[in-house]
Amino acid sequence: MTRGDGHDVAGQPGLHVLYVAWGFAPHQGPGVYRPLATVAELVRQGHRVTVLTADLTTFDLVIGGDRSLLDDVPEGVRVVRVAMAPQQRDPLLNRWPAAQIADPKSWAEKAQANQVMAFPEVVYATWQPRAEAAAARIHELDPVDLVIATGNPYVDFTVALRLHVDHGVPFVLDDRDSWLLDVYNGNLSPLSDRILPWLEFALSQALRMWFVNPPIADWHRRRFPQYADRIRVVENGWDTRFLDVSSLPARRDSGSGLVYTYVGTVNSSLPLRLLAEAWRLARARSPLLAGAELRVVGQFGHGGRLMPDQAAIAAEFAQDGLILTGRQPKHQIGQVYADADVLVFVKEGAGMVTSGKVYEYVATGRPIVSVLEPEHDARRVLSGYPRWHDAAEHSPEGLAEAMLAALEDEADGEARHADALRYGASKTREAALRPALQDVLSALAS
Amino acid sequence: MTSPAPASSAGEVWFVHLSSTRPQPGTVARVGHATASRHSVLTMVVGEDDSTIRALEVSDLPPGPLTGVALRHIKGATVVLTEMLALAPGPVVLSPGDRIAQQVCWEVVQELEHVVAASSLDGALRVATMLETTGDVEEVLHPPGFSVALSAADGGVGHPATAETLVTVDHGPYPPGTPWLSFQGQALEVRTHGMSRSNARAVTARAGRRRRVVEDEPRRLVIGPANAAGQGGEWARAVRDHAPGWTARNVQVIPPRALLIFGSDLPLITTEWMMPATRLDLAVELFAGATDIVVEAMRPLLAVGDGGQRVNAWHTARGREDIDALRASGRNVALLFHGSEVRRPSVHTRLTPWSPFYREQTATLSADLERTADIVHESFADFDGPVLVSTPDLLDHIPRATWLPGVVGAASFVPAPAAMTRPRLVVAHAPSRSWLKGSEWVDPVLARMEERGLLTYRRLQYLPAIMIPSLLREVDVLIDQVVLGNPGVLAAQAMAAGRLVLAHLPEAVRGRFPEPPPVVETTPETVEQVLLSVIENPEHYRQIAARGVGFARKYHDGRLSARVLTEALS
Repeated sequence: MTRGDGHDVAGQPGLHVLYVAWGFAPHQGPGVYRPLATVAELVRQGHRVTVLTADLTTFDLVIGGDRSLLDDVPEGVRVVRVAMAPQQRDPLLNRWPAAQIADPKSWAEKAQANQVMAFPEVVYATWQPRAEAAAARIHELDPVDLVIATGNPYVDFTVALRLHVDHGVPFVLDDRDSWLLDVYNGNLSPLSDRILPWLEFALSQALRMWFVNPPIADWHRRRFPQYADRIRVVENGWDTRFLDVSSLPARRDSGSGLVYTYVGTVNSSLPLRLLAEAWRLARARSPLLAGAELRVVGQFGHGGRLMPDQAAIAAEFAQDGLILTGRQPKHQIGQVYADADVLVFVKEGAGMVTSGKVYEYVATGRPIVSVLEPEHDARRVLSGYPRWHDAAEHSPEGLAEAMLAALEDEADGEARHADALRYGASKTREAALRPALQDVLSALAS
Repeated sequence: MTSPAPASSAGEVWFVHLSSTRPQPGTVARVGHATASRHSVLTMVVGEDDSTIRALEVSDLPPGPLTGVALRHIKGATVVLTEMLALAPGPVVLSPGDRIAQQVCWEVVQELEHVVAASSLDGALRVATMLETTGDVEEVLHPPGFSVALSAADGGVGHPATAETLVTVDHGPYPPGTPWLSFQGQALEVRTHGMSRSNARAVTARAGRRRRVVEDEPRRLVIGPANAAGQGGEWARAVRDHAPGWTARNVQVIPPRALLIFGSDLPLITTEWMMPATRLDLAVELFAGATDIVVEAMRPLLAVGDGGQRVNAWHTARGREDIDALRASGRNVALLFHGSEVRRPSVHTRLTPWSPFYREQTATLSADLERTADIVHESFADFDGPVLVSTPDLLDHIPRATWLPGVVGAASFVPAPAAMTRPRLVVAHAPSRSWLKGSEWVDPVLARMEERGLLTYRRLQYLPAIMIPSLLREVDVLIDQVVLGNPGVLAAQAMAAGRLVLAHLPEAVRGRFPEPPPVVETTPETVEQVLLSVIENPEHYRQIAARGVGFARKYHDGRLSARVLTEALS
């Protein structure tokens, strides 16, 4: 295998890696942490990294961002920002034409219909030509040895394909969700007819394609047996840079009522009512929970707002100690765990869904309560954790019982704390990324 | 009657939430957290006369149900809010709480330049945060546009953006008919006369010294805006790679709903390009520093004759205005044509009996193409500079032109297993426009032969360009076209990959190549016969296919094209 500048890469450190992530920092969605960790790991291993991502205005103005995440971009990493045309998502009325303010929905539909259709992805397809042009320019000025592109959005993958086809640059695709599948129900995505040729071509050319859990990877191996050899599982993990477990006390400093905490996005699929009703039942059954709180910590939906039914639940159960805090900056997540006695894990989906948050949960050593579908892949991560209390049934009653079991664990589980921490220590992002990147380097050298 | 405008200091941000119904407590709380020195939560209330409109703070709202504004009150509400906000000494951020408030806010920003209105509270909160950082409404409303060169340079890749282009705006007076954009050496002059208010404002925000990345070769070529089959990008790359003393970039204006994307140095979507501010950015990034320009298909690059937002990106007259303006500025200009825009159907029917034009079912299409070609020919009839065509058959339509060979990227030359070595022939046909390629004759023959088990037929359409080289490596034979008589880019790619190419190339066209092209002559009448011959004599045709690699390398790897281009401009 040769480098972008024509030199042999075998055994040489210090590759120039182009990392493509439309949603890189300061993007504040849950998908930003794996890219940050991958870039950091590449830098730690001595590689030069150039990140290709969307422009700051997109995050500052159009979808919202967290600029504090820019502090987590390692020094020396070059970030090339390519503007994304906001089109129908432009939030500035000053720039809206008269036709748009007259009928925003129709205008948006027309803008959508007129967008570049070459790549099968809604909204983000317009970034394809721009990102490809920027990548070609980067390669021209500073030859790239390896591209790692992460989706979603999957428009990122086209950049890797373009540099590979035009210049022979090897690439890795990191599919953090699933390009082809709806992982929540296992069905093909609505655009699957158009995605399939792209995915098959990408697989045929890729050095590696990463998936986040064995079920998704296995599905792809079965569907594309001819490319099974390049499919790898690179699990998510918890970020040591955001969570210093050594600073977490074995038990929260007492002085107030117990705190049960859910951490994760508060979207429409979160069974908030189930959580709240289970909590009310549990509180009614144990005097130890009098004055206790159930804190729901996480971004509200996509727009930062609660939906009306969620707001109604919050109001209805406020008297039971249900508190919805909204998003906490990632750098303060350690304090959220430090302030919790018991963690509550709820995640929709089944066999193809793991969640990134479950890795963070098992890092804390805290008792974990869960309510999950029987086939849910998060069970695979939780099953080795000694302080896991799973609801016997997917109901308020079942979850309440698990909450009470965790209460006992919280009281007498000190002996299991060290084992729990030990288990969690094996689930860091580095633990997943290091062998994966070593595997890529070995493949490059062979 | 209106609420008095709260006093604030110049530069301090006033955050105003506006709604037509009583705001929720949560909304009031969120507004209070906005990054601003003043906060107002206003509700528009209509008096009993149905015409008096007041904008009241929450504390001033009467108890009980409110008579909120409706659509018919938008004008009145706009007057009230405009009067109130006009007095603000600093920037104002407007946050509409509902659809009617949104429309009122939109009307207000048509009048007041220090007001920024978002479409929602979330957006407004972000605007307020940005204003705290930048302190400048114009920076929020008109951030720098898309620039590949600046993106890379600002990311620390390659040379920093140390060059500057001076942009002056409305330093008139100018006589009527003056282009909205003109060159003064490497500086640019802009006139906003006739532009919409928002476009004029966006352009004016770009006045001053604009950064760009210096290209330090003595000759700096720009090609655009068609990039047909990705050739604009390939020619630019060929010049960069093979012409000492030259550099080159291409710009592509991508049509709406484009199903195929090709590599391009600066891709712009048509609706973006139509904005005069985007065209000004383009002039700064590519044209200010350019010495040479190749105009494709007589399409406008900057449309200096039309500063409106409804400019037609395919208008030949606009293209000619650009050509004249660029030449008047001292830049070399060459014209380049790709095909349909200059191919006169009436001429074509005399060149080959298989011409697809003016047949029963193509009469209307042919007449349309004829009209288009006539307009294009007329537009450059008095052009005395170099004219290039991308395929040699077009010399029948522009005899004074020079053939500029198409360029096949390195991916097509990746060695592939020899063609016609598998048990069953694989034949591909991938027309972009099937009626111009003779697919109506190809398809039934190939389907029949596949049914008989003689071959495998791969009929392809809208195949992404990046997949073509690997697809070609998987087939034995490409049927390019059997009616048009042009040797296109796909045929060259197939030759580079060592595949056998079947196509109709009249003798006159074949004779324009310096050596006979290894393309097996095939017409609608002979498709089956040729394929049967290939099946029966694979070794013979394998040798022809193998010759294609050398032929493509000689004529289509970019070296010859770079020479032709630079010689034409020299």
